[in-house]
Amino acid sequence: MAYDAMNDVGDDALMVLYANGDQDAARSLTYRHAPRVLALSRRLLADRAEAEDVAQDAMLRLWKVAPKWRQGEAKVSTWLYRVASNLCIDRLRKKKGTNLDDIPEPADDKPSVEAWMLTKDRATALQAAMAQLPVRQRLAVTLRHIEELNNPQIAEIMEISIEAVESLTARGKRTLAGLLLGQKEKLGLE
Amino acid sequence: MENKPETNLDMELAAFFDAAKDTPPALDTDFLEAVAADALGQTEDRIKTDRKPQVSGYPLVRLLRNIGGWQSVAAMTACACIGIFAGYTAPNSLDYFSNTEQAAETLNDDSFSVASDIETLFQEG
Repeated sequence: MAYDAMNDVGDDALMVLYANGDQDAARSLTYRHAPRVLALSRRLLADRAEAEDVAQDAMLRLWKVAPKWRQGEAKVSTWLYRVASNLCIDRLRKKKGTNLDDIPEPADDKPSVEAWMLTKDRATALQAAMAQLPVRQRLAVTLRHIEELNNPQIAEIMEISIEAVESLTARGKRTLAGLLLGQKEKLGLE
Repeated sequence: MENKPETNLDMELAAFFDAAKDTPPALDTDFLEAVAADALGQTEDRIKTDRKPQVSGYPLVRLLRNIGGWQSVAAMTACACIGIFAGYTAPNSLDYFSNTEQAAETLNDDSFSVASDIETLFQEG
């Protein structure tokens, strides 16, 4: 069975299939989750190579845990986000301090029309502002407002209370507003 | 900085978050293939591990386990004891069996003769 024929198959079932040796299930899980894990890692680390390392490591841990995966206990996406965010936090704590000039722009192959350039500039400005947030605020804001998870899911990923998630996102957004709202005109938002 | 209500903050930052969502990191097919290759590698490792016999413990314990456990060891010990007993016992003692046969033959002959004697006595009155 081709992996794209497994679009309707749930994550838990795919994990069982993979644990039984089905490589199409593994490819389906890869194409379903690896891009999201990579996106989160890039937003947190602002480094493409490091983000790919982290995302690959998180996925490798998923393959290792597959035979012992307990259905219904945790969502694969939540589990992956938790592993990836912990790996990112570890790396960021080791690095300590990122020069804003070092933050690369998100890569893309789309045509550079004016609107697209503005969107890119806003994303870049956000990325630079996010880099100034403490790592847990950055993670909470990313999961809430970019990955669009709800607070209980974020609380599960970060292993904190929902109130703590709300506090982290609120503080993060206040800092972001202070850093970004002065650039609104330059970024075509006024 | 003034503390703006949460909804106002969300509205003001929405354009930035939307921009971030509209510019996801470019996906590298090589990266996805590497992740899928890891999955295959893990499956192969698991198959190898499953095939490998689970051998643990001291060499003597492993040897005993391989030859059939304590039951086979007990049986072999019993056989060895019988073999040693048979080897050390003097051959004369084995005459017991042959003597018994001779005694039985003698007994049989004698008992018949006694029986016939009694029968003769009864007949003679």
